[in-house]
Amino acid sequence: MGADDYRHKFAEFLATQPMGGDLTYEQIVRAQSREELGISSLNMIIVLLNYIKEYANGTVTVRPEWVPQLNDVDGIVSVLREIDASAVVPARS
Amino acid sequence: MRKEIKVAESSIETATQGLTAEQVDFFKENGFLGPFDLYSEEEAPLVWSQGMIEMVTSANKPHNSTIINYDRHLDCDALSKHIAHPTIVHKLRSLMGEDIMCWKTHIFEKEPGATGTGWHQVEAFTVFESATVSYPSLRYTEESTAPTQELTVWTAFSNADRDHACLRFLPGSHKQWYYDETKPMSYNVENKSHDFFGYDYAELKLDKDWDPNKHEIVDMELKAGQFVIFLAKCVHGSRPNTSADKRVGMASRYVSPSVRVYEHIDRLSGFGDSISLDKHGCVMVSGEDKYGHNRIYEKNLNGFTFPKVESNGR
Repeated sequence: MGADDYRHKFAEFLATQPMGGDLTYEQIVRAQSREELGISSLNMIIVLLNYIKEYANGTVTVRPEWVPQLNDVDGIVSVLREIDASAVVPARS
Repeated sequence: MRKEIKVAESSIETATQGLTAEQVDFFKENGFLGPFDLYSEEEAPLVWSQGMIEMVTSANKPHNSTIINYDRHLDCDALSKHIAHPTIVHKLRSLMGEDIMCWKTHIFEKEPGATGTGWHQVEAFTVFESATVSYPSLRYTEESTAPTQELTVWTAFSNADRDHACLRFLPGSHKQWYYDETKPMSYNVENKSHDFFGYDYAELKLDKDWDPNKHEIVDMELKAGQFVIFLAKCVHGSRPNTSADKRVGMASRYVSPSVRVYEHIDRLSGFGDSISLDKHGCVMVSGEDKYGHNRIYEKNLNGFTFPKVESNGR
């Protein structure tokens, strides 16, 4: 999957999360920063944990070096790619 | 008048050493001392990020507020380690002796564009139960001639220079009271003069004509991973955050175990929220508790054993 595909995947996933419930798919795809999404830094870690449960069956541990990357959408997308790449179970597309 | 005062550590100092006699004298005279190196600039944000992850994943939190960010050393292993870091503890010992108890931590984040924190001065950390009823968080049960009844260690987990809301001190101001911390303040987050977390600390000034900005001011610039030690009684505040980056710091507060903590207080309110102190406890980071005044935790709420620096320096 390319970066754009991952951005769409992130948008689809965030729309299923309580903290992304009020955002439209288009808003998420267009957003550049976490702040634009109106999601706090701690809540974005929760989103990441939920993503790991959903797509990596909980087999990946959140790494501290990922946390600063969660401030912008490109960084978030990059972390999601890393999670999918290091998941023990095959990533669901 | 602004003046640079910094006491650099000796290049031969190791993590197991305390303060020099010169540094102790400086602290007694000025009420603060730093900066000191704790984590590298690369390590500091990782320690903080690990703390954030644990704040989210913690199974047993000290309270449920996401607004009042006190005491997360009680459930986050990275912060449990931090408060008892040997580099910190050895320096505290030089100022307050062997028996040292951490009673509180407080996270201070300043978003880009945030205003500075107004000048303030505390020692008993008075808590108001109502507009007229207040109790001290700390009751000192022993007389002390040392100017070190309580000590605060403020660690920068991101850069905290002049553009990034560094702390500021009025040197020597711990020697007298400029404010009356036992009086209530009005709360109004919209008012610009309410620059102390929504309160106007200037309302507590003993001499209404006294202007702290005419006092000598020291800007304590810290790199990520550095800390400063100070007496909360030393008048302090912070510059605004004029940068594009969030500034993150954490204050860890220490007293002797002879001090009674939250003796008549079971809840804390502030920032539009309130927390129970049911799970609050203190942590001995050095020495012994010979008093039994307070609940002492040896493990954090998730079972991690708090590190403790042994008396022989190991």
